[in-house]
Amino acid sequence: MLQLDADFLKRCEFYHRAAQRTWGRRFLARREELRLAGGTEVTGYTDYTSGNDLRYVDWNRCARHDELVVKLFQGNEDNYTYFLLDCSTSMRRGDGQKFATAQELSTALVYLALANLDCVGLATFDNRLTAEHPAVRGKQLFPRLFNFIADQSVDDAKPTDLLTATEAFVARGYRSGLAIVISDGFDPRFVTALDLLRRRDYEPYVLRIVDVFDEEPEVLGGVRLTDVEAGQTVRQSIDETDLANYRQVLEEHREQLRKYCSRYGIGLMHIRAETSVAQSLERIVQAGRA
Amino acid sequence: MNFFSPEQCWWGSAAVLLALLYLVRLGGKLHEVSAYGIWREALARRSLWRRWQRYLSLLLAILLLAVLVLALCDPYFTKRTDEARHMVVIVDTSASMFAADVEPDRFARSLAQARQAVGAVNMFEQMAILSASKTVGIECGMTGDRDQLYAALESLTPSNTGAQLTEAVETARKMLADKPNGKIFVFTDAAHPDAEKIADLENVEVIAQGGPTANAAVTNLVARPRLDDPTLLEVVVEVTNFGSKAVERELTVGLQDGEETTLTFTLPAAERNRLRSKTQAFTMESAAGGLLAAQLTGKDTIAADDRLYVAVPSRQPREVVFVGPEDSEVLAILQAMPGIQVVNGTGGPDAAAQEVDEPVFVFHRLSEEHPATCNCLGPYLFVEPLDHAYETFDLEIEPGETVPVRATIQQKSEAAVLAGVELSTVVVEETIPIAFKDSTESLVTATSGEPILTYIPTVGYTKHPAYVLHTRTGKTDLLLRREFPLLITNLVRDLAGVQSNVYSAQPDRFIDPIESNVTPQEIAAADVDFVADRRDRGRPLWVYLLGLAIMLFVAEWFLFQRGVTV
Repeated sequence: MLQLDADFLKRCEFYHRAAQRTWGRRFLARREELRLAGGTEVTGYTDYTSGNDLRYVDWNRCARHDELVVKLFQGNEDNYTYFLLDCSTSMRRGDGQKFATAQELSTALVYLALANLDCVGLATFDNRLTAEHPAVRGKQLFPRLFNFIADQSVDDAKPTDLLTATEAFVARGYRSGLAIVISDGFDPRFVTALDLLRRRDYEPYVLRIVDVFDEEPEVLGGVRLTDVEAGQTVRQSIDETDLANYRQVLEEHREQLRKYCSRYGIGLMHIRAETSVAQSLERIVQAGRA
Repeated sequence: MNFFSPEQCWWGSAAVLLALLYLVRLGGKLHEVSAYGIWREALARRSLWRRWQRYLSLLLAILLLAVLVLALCDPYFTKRTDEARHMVVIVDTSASMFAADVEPDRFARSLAQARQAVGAVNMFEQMAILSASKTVGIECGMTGDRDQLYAALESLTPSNTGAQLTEAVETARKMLADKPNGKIFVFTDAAHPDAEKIADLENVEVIAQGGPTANAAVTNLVARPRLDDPTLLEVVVEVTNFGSKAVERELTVGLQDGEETTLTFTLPAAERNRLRSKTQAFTMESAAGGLLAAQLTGKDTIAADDRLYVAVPSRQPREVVFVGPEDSEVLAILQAMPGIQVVNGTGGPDAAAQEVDEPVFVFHRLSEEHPATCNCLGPYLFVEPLDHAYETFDLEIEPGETVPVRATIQQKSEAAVLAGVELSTVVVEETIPIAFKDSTESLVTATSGEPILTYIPTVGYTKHPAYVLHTRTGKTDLLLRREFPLLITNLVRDLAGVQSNVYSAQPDRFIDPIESNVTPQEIAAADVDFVADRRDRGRPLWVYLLGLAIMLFVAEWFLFQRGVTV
């Protein structure tokens, strides 16, 4: 059971400082958007073209060099970060290690985001959007978000449908921002959902949490394989060839996701549920530096 | 194809159970998977072999079951039953099969080949075994049980008789009359006279043992007391060479624990239809009698025919009670004969008879001085009966009335008492006619018809036999002839119950003489193959099916249990 204690907060604070050294103000090293107006920092100039707002013309430069240039800005005053936590049945496979890890990671990252002065919103989903917490700012609200996450549980027979959940999420009209999807990523429409987020000006970030059985299943001989979400059961005689095929298909699936994320600049992190949250956070922070 | 046990087909229903065991998967550890799609795709990538491996394994298992069920049904090809032979093996168990010209002997060799014939009987064929000796014996009826056939062969032993081969073949033909593919194998030495004919018969194979060889045999042994002196024995031995080679042998003739005589001789080789024999006579002294043996020594093909025995009874002088004139010639002759011991009963036959065991009474010329009335009980010899005193014996004699005879004697009978007695030249002038109440038999008559010697089976109330010599001693030269003592001796011995004075060896007591001829008939050498079909190894089909089932089992085991992958 997820518990909020001083030790946890201390560790979160420690990771916040480490993350600041790595990311600065860019939580999870998200991209800085170039803006023509409304930014917090002038990053450059561009030639004036017809239709540009005259308010952003650098008149001083025009006076000195006799040319019309428009100032370019970077940054935003309000950074929004949304957490989409997978609460489908597949996250509870085995002893529920995957969901517990997902809860702990999301809690820690919420803290980091709040500490980074981001507005943090939460949403959980299985085959639909099941619960939402509106975006809030300020570390003083962390316990509320913590309790929200801690109250989430995984129900039986709840298949994953990220696309449906994402459609519901974007329909809410939240402001665009970083959308961290915490899931095992076995949803066949996972990439489609990321596409939707991306098209709606959200910046997806994928935290894929898998356990050892997902990665290296040790099943041999006559077994019954049951889909933990749909309840389908198939009796098969599994041999080494089948396991090799499984590993190959899994690797292809990962490679496909990696290529997609790489192509669109989406952050992707594979987290083993058996790994401690501290190690996982460390990896996330270090990956941001790279 | 047909089946011996079609009812075993119901085992085929096990195929359903087998299929269920393969197709209905029970148990197996339950694994909850979240990456079910990944699993499905991984399983979909199975190779065609892997996907069909289970069904191929099931197919093999069903095939295995089918083969086992087929084996249980014990199939056979109908063609094989149609072609199955019915055979009769005839084993010659005659004495000639003792011949040891082949190792170990002809009979053992024949048995060995007969065993080969039995071994060639396949599961669809039947065989019977006959033995041919003096009689034809069915040792084993038609059967396909080899053990039974082997046991029947083991029970055979050669006899000392001849072989009824022709009758055996005829019996075999009757046994095969209503059976297809009949075949007769005759295991013999082909010494039988009809062996050549038998070999020419259809569906008869003669497997002959042995070849031309030397064999000498004692073929005859006869002994008799000498006529003039019964204490001496005249012995005649016949030795024959049946072989195709000349033989030199040593013949020993002698009485047991008595005198022996040895003779060495050479017999030339027998030719076709002509045997070489040698007859040798010996005289031996043996009043006490005993076992007389003629023995050939030296290596011979058949040892059983190298010896003959004859039992010679004791020939002690017979005691007779003489009743008649003490000065008669007949008494003098009787007293002179070595085979007869006379007790004079003229003074009283009854008293004299008490001194003698089983006396023979000789009555001669009885008169009033020689009363014949007595209680003498025993066989009688009446020589020249003259007196009325014979009324005791119910003989009706008219004294003094004689019949003149002018002719010589006519010997009518072939009776044993006349053996060696030639009376045809004896002259008889007068005979004494006698009327008999009992039935009689005239053994010797005169040429004019008057009886000279009469045999009476039972005389009056005494119920004893009697001989009556009708001649008058003064009116014939019979007493002067050498035949008279011999005739009297024969009559006395016959009355005393000695049946014959000639002792012959019983030839078949040891071996049938014809079996000594061990030279086989000329029969084309038969290269007999007892096996009907060399390609047929004689094993039932289920054995091969079982082998196939084992191969299928191994294949299925490797395919399924070992999870062979391609």
